[in-house]
Amino acid sequence: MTLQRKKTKKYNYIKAPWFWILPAVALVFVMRYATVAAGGWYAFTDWNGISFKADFVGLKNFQTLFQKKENYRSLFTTIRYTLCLMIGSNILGVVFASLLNRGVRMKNFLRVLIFIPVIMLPMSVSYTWKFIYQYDGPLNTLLNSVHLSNLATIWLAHPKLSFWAIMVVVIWRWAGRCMLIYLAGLQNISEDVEDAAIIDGASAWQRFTKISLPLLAPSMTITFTLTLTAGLNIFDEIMALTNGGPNKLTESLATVIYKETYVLGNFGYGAALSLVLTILVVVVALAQLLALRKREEEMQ
Amino acid sequence: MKQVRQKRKRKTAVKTALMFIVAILWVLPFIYPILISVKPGNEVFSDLLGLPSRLDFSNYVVAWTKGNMGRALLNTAIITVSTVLILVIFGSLCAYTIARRRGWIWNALYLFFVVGTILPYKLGLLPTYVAFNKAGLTGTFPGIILLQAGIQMPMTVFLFTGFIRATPTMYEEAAQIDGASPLQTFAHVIFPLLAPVTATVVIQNGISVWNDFFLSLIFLGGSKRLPLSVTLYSYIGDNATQWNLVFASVILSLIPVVILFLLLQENMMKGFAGGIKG
Repeated sequence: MTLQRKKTKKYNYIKAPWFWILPAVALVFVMRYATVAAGGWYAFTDWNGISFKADFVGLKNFQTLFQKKENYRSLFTTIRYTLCLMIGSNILGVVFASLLNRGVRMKNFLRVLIFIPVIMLPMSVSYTWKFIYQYDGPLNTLLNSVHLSNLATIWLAHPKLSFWAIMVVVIWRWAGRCMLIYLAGLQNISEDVEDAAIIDGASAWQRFTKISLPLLAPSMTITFTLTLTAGLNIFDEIMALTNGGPNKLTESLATVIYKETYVLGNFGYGAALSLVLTILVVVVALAQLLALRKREEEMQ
Repeated sequence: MKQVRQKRKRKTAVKTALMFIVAILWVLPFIYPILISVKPGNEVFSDLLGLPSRLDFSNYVVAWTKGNMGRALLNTAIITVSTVLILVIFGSLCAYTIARRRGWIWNALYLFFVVGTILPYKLGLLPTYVAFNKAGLTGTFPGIILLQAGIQMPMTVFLFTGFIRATPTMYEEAAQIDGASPLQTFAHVIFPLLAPVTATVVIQNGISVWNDFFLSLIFLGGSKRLPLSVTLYSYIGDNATQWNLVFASVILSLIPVVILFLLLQENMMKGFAGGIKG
């Protein structure tokens, strides 16, 4: 990195006009920064989202927020979603990537198959799985036909299994994306190094842990950040599959925010909750990013 | 060396077979809807796991004509293509300037985009809606395109900048010595070099915009410019028990994205690899 910096410094006379940045900067400033600042301001008001009147109420929304027990429960559920998503999709991503990197025929075709859930409309994914999970749907019919009918159940209304039913769908949608990023990282490992390791008698596991894994560190930084933010913001699948039920057990912070804001019209309170989630995501994501970067440098 | 090759050949066969089984199981929840979408209506629940007795494509015709899919497809294409064009043109210009200039301002600007990728735009949606409504931008193409471009721009600039930083400067130096203007240099020398990362940007943003549901529902709701996702949603809502119709429209909505992915897959991998190195 430092070497590159020095090299480019010599060619400093290559000047791209400064105003080339204006359209992009203006767009991001208005659509990201200004809107989020406006939304953040409403967190300190009692705005209901419809009237033009919004009274400043100070920290009242935050007081209510920290007093409500159900917020702690949905926070806990969100953390559980996030950890499961990070672990599940990264393990599957690494496994798929190392199996589909080389030494497999028709690998492009196989890669596309694994990647299909990523490019499906989230709406389509959710409806497909909702159909599969139905009580008289294919999953239970399959279980009945192989004489495991005692396992057939109301998947999306079960107090414990509904969480895992959602988790399966979310991981299914994310594993392909992780695979692609790990595959890109694996392109930097030359075949000769692996051949040499095989001749030296290194086992597949040794080759994986000693050669592949260290070189995958940068990919890991990206996938961990992506799945972390995705997990903390998890929304679509819950809304479509269980709508937060049964008994609010699968509710995440994002679905609570949506319902408070758009269904119940407590916009000020919803914005306060949203602000807390934002701070949580930014702090955790940045802390993780720094930790992973440090690990990357140590490994190289 | 020869031994290694032989050993590898045997392993290739085993690995291919294994991965085929895994991949088929993986897409089973996707193949299954295809089967249902070509099943004659009365067979869906009478024989839930069986193969269709005959292929019935009438579901696709019904979904296409009754579901208003043609109009929705056109709307989605207009929104996606315009957004991606804005992102690629202005994103690459901005990233090039940031990557090639030195000084704290340009580092700060880079940080401006990095932080932008994390800021949760959903927090600002309602104020944005109120402002857009006043400006007459709700329910219009320019409104949703500007919004989408603004939301996706930080990640786009981030990806482009990482790639350009790792690209050597000698070509543009040569072009400048030959008397090319900055814009000529960029259009004819730099931009062609960015093909892998451009593919990444096109696929990533193309998929996000194509698949968007939430923003379109809020900002285009009630207008005639609804994209595929929202049209599909209301259509499914009306036909929730006719699963063969539902899945026919699901498959229809998927075809364009799969084609895009197949076309750009290889290039995108290189783009990711470049982004990771840089």
